[in-house]
Amino acid sequence: MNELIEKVGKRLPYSESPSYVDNLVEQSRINALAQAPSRKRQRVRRLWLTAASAAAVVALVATVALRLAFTAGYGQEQLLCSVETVEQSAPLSEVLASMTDEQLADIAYFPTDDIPEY
Amino acid sequence: MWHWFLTFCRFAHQKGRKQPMKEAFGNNITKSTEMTDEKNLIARLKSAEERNEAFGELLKAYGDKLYWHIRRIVVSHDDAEDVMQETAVKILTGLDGYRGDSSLATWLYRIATNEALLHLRRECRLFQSLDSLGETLAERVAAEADVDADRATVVFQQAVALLPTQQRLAFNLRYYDEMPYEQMAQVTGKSVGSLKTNYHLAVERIKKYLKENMI
Repeated sequence: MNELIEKVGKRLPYSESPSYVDNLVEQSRINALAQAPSRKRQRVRRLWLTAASAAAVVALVATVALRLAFTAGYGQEQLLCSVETVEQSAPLSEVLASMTDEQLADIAYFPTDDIPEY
Repeated sequence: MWHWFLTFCRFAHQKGRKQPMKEAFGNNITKSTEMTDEKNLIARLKSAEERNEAFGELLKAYGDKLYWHIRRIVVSHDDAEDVMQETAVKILTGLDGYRGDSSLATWLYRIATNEALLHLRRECRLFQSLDSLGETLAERVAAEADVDADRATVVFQQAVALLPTQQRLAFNLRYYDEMPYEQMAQVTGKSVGSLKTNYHLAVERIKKYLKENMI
């Protein structure tokens, strides 16, 4: 049994002739030289595509974010503007200050019969 | 038999430790000469004018070893051919990225190993691990064996094929290529400690398998 294992050593159950391996290596060399330029181009193209996709996504996200920020700011601005406009055109505090307590009570508490529609 | 086998593996281990990669590097004098040769070759591989010629020399020097390393991983003759072709393309396209941190042999073995494992991974179904290909590879060993192949060589190789991938890689690089653990670590990206463990576990498993199947 020892002899059997000794005989196995580093041998493999399959073998190839040296000329086969040499031919394969030579064929691999030829194929590699033929394919390498196109592979490089493919890699560069893939890199560019990846970079362009990433840039497009970043641009999209930035656009949406800016749009949202702008819309929110614009709405707030408009609201502030309308309040200011009302206050400027009809300063309510001044009107109220000029009225007597009775007049204010009349405004605040009035029967529904006084309203024509009722 | 097992005592002899263990002694043989220890001998290979010690031999590998004292004179790592004997075939590739030899003694100190030839080592320094070959280092200079390797530097020259790397320089030529980096130059656009001499690249093609140097690439031919590179494959001539390492092609045989790379082929058998790949063949031991993928087992099948046809698969080994495909992986060898792909490895050659990857070597040529990756030359610009080779920084010389590791030896040329280590870099080539790393590419060949990755390509061979990638090829096996393509054979796996979704969520199936590489280790589960053991049975398939063992069957392939029997199918690929020469008509006049010894039963012992077939069973031995089947035992290797049934090992988990990391153990199989460690065993192949250590036992067949006589690579030092430090170089193996660079090839596989694993630590020296885990490679030593994997190698010894592999030897134990092979011993057990031979015991069960050869008597």
